[in-house]
Amino acid sequence: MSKVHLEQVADRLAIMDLLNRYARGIDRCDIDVLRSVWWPGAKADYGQGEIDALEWFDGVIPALLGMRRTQHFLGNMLIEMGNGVATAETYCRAWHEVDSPDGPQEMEVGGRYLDRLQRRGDEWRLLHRRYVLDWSRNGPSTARWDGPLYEGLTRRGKRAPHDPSHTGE
Amino acid sequence: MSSDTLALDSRLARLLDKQDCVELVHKLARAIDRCDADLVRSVFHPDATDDHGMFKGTAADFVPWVMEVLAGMRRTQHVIGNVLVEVDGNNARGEAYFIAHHCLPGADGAGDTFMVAAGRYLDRFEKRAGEWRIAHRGAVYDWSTTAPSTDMWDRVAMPTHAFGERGHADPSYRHFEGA
Repeated sequence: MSKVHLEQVADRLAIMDLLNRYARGIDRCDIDVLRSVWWPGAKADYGQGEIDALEWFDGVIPALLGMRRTQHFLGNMLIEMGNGVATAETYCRAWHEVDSPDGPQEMEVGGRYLDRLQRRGDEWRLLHRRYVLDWSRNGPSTARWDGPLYEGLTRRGKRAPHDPSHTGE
Repeated sequence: MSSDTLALDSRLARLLDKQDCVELVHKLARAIDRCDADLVRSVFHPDATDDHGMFKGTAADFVPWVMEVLAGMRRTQHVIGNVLVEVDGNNARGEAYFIAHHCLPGADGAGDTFMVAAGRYLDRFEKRAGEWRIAHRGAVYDWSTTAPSTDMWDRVAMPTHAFGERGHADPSYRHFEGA
């Protein structure tokens, strides 16, 4: 009884960790973290057709670095467990701040990751990811970091290895 | 069985109870966003109740009411964040933070409106015959922001992209069926 329970809980937590690690890899532009979430040969489809996930991520880091900052905020995770495999739907609210000739723009995208995952040994990784777009919001940046509260909050997110989560700042 | 094993087992059982309750919250969000009436019904006990402020009544009556509200919208996404669940035997209470995104058609051919409403679902869960379901859902609203839609996707001109749909046309159904 407890063995079954333990495995169920451990598998689910490992999958949630993996999904969270992907968001961290993107937001910190950390290629090592991003590589660690896919099995070799894993495929992804972000809207331009199915591609080799590991190859694609080599090219996507410069694109991400070209943005001022991103935050991939994961919410709902529906995970259906199979025997050593899992199928998941994860909600994501992705925030991007980008430069433009008209000044900084913010672009927010609501979407979902449709994932197939597999366990090999003790490790869960992605086999296939399909990204679904639900909504978007675009406009000039309205970021304000002043006033009595926020001007004192100076520790800002950065890309690896300069983020406070790396530097301990 | 040693007392340590018993303690671990009851802690694991509690963890699984919490997990089931969180899953119900996520399932209901999915059901609403996909306008899937059957899936909405499946997360409630038969005698469950709902209090959305503008709607108060049985979960059975909530279903047609919410489907009609959703029919007036182009699309929604209910993103769930923090979920606090307190389990007490076969009863549990949850507080789930939500940010709900709505794309609404403008009046008389005007452009769409993007409305965001955020709040918390205050749920009562009950485990009956070994199965957790929602016995009562209450919705509390904390903030909202509304603006003309700035969505720039031409969904017809982007055929290789997957867009969210209502009903079984959404890619997630084929996904969970294993296709």
